[in-house]
Amino acid sequence: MDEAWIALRLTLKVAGVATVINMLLGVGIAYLFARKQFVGKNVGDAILTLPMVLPPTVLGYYLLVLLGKHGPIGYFLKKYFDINLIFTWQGAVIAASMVSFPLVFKAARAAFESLEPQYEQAARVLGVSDAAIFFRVTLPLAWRGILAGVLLSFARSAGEFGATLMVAGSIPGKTQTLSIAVYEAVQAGQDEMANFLVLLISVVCMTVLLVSGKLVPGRVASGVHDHG
Amino acid sequence: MANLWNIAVSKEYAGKNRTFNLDVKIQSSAERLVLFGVSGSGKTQLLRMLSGLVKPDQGSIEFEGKTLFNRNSAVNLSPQERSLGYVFQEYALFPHLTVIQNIAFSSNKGWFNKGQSFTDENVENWLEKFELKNLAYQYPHQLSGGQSQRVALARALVCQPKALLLDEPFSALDDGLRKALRMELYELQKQLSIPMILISHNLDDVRSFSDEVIQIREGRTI
Amino acid sequence: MKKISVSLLLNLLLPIQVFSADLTVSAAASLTNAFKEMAPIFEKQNPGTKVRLNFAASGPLLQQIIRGAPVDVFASADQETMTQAQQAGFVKADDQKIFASNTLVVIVPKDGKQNPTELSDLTKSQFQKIAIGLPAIVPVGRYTKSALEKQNLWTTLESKMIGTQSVRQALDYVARGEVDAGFVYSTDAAITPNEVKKAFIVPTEIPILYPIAPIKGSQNDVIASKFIAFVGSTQGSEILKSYGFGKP
Repeated sequence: MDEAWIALRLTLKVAGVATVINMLLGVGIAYLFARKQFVGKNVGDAILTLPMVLPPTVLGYYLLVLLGKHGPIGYFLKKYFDINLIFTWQGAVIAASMVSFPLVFKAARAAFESLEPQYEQAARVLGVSDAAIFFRVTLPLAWRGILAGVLLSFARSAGEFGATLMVAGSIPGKTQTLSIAVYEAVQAGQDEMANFLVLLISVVCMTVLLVSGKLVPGRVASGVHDHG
Repeated sequence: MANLWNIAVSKEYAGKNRTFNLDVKIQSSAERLVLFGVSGSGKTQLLRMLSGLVKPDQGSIEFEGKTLFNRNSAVNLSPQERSLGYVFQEYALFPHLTVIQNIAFSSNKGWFNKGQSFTDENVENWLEKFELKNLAYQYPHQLSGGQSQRVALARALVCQPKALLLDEPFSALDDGLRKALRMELYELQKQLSIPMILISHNLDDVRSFSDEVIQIREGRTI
Repeated sequence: MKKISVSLLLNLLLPIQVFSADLTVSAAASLTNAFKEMAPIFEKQNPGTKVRLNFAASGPLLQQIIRGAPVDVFASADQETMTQAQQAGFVKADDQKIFASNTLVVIVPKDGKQNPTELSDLTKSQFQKIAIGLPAIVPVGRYTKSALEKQNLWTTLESKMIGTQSVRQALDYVARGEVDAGFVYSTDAAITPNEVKKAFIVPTEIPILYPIAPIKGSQNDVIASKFIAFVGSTQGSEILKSYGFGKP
């Protein structure tokens, strides 16, 4: 069952890194969408949501073509940085991060948009810079909604299969995440291994749910909409 | 004699069924100016423009000779740059911060809110003046209307604004409290000598508080 | 008049075909192109029959059958998988028929500069990644493993291996240039001549033979037998030959 523990560690690593990336990018971009006006917002939102809606294998294929040796991004990376993302855990992170990015983006955008504008306005009149307002007023009031999206993103990243398989392959210790390991165990008729892996995955998911329950408990001070 | 306030702004608001046109001219040196009109007449919008939260389509805003906004010369100071205090109609107290943190909000411009245990002379003074010391560690949702109003006022005054804009500060209070707080505000204004613009649809406020009234109806000054 | 129109109506309403059936055929990935060409010809010869093809590595195909997938015919890329099917009780020993053979080759990307001539060449540093079907589930992986083990190269090359889910996935990786070399059947190499080139043939311990058999208990055993007969017929053999498969 060693392979199972290796797969678990790898899954947590890939999902963890992907979630951090999504959190930083998703919250930042969501804030822009929620607060600024600019041309092409609707189209932009649709494009950013697309990875969640596309079948994972389709996304995986796009990534394979883009990041592969002859692809526009892959060629550039190889030529100037000697980096090849196919068959690497970093490639798995990109696949996982792309499919679950919309979960953070949409949750954060909704959280920011449902915030009553008067708090940020009051902070502006009080002379605090817009950047400081984001960290002192906006984020503290919106974090519950954002966190819900972040947790979903983690769960989705941990379970990512189709796109990951295409881009990163299934290399034990490097890219064979729990979902892929289950798939292969079933294909090979290794029931015992499959059962154990499924148990591990279920424990991970239960833990995420329990932790989220602790971090996002009931009511907040009145005057703030509950974004959970 | 230069006016305190030199305002001439207009803005068109396109709504679902109608367009609302705000077109206001005010030249005043009143210490306690009251903008009087029914709700929906545009008073709050005007106040927002003065504070820099909303940008007019046309016109200019000058205060104490300084240009805060001028469409033609493309001047538009941000709210942060205008040094005007603002008390919101619903007070807009930060729900996640205590009373003392709310009041002290502007005294620190950094990216993090001060913790509970800091001290600041200025903040302490205001807490005392408004008799809020024993409420310092309460959260906004635990306060009464009158208490919230005083916290909002203290918060706006901590950064020593050059003028104070108040949007219907007494509307959520009962008559008795309204009278009392109005008196307090009058005394405060005299003490601090800070010009104030107050929005109200209540005639008593006009009679007892203002030294000049400007009526606004359907977006226009009368 | 009335009588004729009634019988005309009845003829239109009743199904005309007597032998209408949906035949489900699970075949090894390497048989994709050949079987796709055979299916419509068989359908034409047996009006009313629809052939549903299901391609994957032989291992997963067997797992599907074991877990109750309604498969009528199974064609695998090695005897081992078929024997497993037999041991699991899904195939009768007498029903199995060998219908084709194949060779194992090493391929490299067409535009690559590498030209290995033998297995030991793969240990060189220019071969960083080598695509190999996963031995646990893909027959081509098993053939490869035994060939490499024979020359004591399996453990040496293991760190370079990129395991694939099927022989076609290995082919794809080489075609894209994502790996430096791959082990596939010569019939697969012929599919994408513009992207891959055959480097050399790998001799295997056991010959690469393709067995086909009807699945016990299928609803369409008559059609299944017909299909198997077609695959083994002159016409079927010609089609297989055109793709590079050898005689059984």
